[in-house]
Amino acid sequence: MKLREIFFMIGILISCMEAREKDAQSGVNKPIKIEHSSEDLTEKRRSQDLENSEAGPVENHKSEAKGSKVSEESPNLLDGKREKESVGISYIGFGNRELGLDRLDWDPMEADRLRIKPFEVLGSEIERVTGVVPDALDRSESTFSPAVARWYKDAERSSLSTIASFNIAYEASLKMIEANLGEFASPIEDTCRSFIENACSSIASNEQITTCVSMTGQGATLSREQKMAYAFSTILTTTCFMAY
Amino acid sequence: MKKRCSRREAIKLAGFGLGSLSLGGHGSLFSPKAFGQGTGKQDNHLVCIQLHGGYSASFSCAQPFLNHTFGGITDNNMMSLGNGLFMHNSFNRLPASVLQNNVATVGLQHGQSSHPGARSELFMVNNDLSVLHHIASGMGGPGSIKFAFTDGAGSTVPKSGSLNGTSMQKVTDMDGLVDALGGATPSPYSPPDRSLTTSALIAAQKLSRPQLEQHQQLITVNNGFSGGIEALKQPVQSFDINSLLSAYSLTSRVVGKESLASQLACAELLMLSGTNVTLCRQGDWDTHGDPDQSKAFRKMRSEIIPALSTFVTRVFGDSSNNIAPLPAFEGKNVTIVIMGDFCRTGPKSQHGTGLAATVISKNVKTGSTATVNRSGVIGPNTHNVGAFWAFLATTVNAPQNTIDEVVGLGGDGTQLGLNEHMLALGRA
Repeated sequence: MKLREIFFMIGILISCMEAREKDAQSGVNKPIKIEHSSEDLTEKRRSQDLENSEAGPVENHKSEAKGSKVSEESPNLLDGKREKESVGISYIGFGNRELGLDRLDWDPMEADRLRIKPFEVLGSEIERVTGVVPDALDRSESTFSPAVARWYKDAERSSLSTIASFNIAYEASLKMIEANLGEFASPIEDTCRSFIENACSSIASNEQITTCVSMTGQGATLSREQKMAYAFSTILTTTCFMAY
Repeated sequence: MKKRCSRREAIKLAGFGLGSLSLGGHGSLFSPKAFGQGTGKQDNHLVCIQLHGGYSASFSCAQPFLNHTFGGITDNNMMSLGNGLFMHNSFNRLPASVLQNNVATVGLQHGQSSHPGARSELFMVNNDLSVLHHIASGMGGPGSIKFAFTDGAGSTVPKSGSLNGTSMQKVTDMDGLVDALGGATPSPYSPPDRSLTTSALIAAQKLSRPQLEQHQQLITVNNGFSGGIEALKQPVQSFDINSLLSAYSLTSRVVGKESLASQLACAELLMLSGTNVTLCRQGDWDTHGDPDQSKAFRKMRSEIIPALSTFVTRVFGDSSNNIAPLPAFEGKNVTIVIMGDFCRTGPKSQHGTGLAATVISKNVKTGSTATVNRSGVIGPNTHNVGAFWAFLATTVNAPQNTIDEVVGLGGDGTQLGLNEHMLALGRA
């Protein structure tokens, strides 16, 4: 590479850095904190609707919302209950309406998002861990009362579906063990740890391992495979596997 | 709730001295059968059939509608059963001995004309619990599923609450129930040791506890663990499920929300397993634009009565035709209540604010305590919801403290005088 080309590239690099510094100073491409109460929003929407009806289509598609109070100050308190901080870029949509206006006052970071896995995903999840789709799954569908087609509802458990979950997990575990006997010859602690971490996608706790190991020691009349199936299906019935 | 009765009075009437009372104008409504309140020694069951939308008083309190523009009642479709009880003749398929002796119409006023409001008042919904949780819990007994709901949709009563370990358990298929009760044919891959399965579920619940305690959304999971563990602790039971399906002309073991036959067949299994309260539900009873109730009559004849008749005959028998109850139900004390969100009112079958429910029980004597005018409006002195449920709780021998609790849920309020509901009880 010639010396002239090197100087040319350095020049471009410096120009880019200057432009970036300028953007940072003017606030472009930075998250904007938008503060507004619900009353503000209603009033603002009214005025925007009025404005739209009078002025017709608006060509303003700038990233800063018209009429929004843009601030980088610390978040204020809304309704006296909790801090609300809407962080993000506001956009103007069709009809000059700020798209963020309809955002729910709901913070996904704080919401209770853990759900029990619905019946629809149980088969693939059991198969992911055990490599088996148990026959009991098909027989149990109505026990789980899955949502009707094209409809959503949060999955629930009842005493009957809890027992059915265990039965499904037991069948899958036993079939997996019978098909892969050699793989379960290592010390039982290691087997349990590996199974738990695979099932729960997290590091196994001592309590989980201890429970798993202790289950393999119960049921005097049962075969070794059956005992291990009991241990594994216990893990597969806990919320570490069943909830996400 | 708008109408209140005195808590003290209702408790008093529910608890004592009913045998000496009589209903003025309607004659005595006492059944000759004696029963022991709150002994806990008899198998007691309450089966609620909720007609989602409404239950027309034309069925349960027919006489005021006779030859009126609203209600569809004529001399040809009304039957008089005595003690002031006039019913639509769609019920004439029920066993004659039961109609003659053990059917009562019981009025209540809840003051709500919207569907959600009426359901909330009717089932006394409060803090994720309903009156049925209280009754089912108070009845006690060894049953693992004390309160069951046989409809998949589930918006009638809260499903998340738990009272003294009693939560509402949804049952959507008979196989799952039979399996849980140990009556299924085992396969080589079924868990072979019921007690070890119980230990496994206890261990799984313990391992899950941190998440169950932290996440309210998992409340049904926690209830499911507790109910499942209790179910597995019960002795194994066997069921003749094929004969059950045949009796109800069912081909599937799925408990469908629109099939009362499947729900009542399931209720039989639940009763045999020791369930205290079963809530069945059937939809599409919001019969607007049905002034002569022809749609409601048709639905009753085709969708309710065949299954109800089978259930009543199997549980109560029909002594007028020398049919005994099934051996499994001999000695059991079962109360069936047919209810809706409210009555339908004239002129076009709109929403009422009260209800004339039909109660079938060995502990009621045929008669009526409801007053309804020609437009389907429940009479002003009808009792409140607390008194209604206290009456039903009494028929299933709930302990006195549960009856007190139920009356208390209705709240103390205006004195309404004599609680006529209690007069229908068959206390000797």
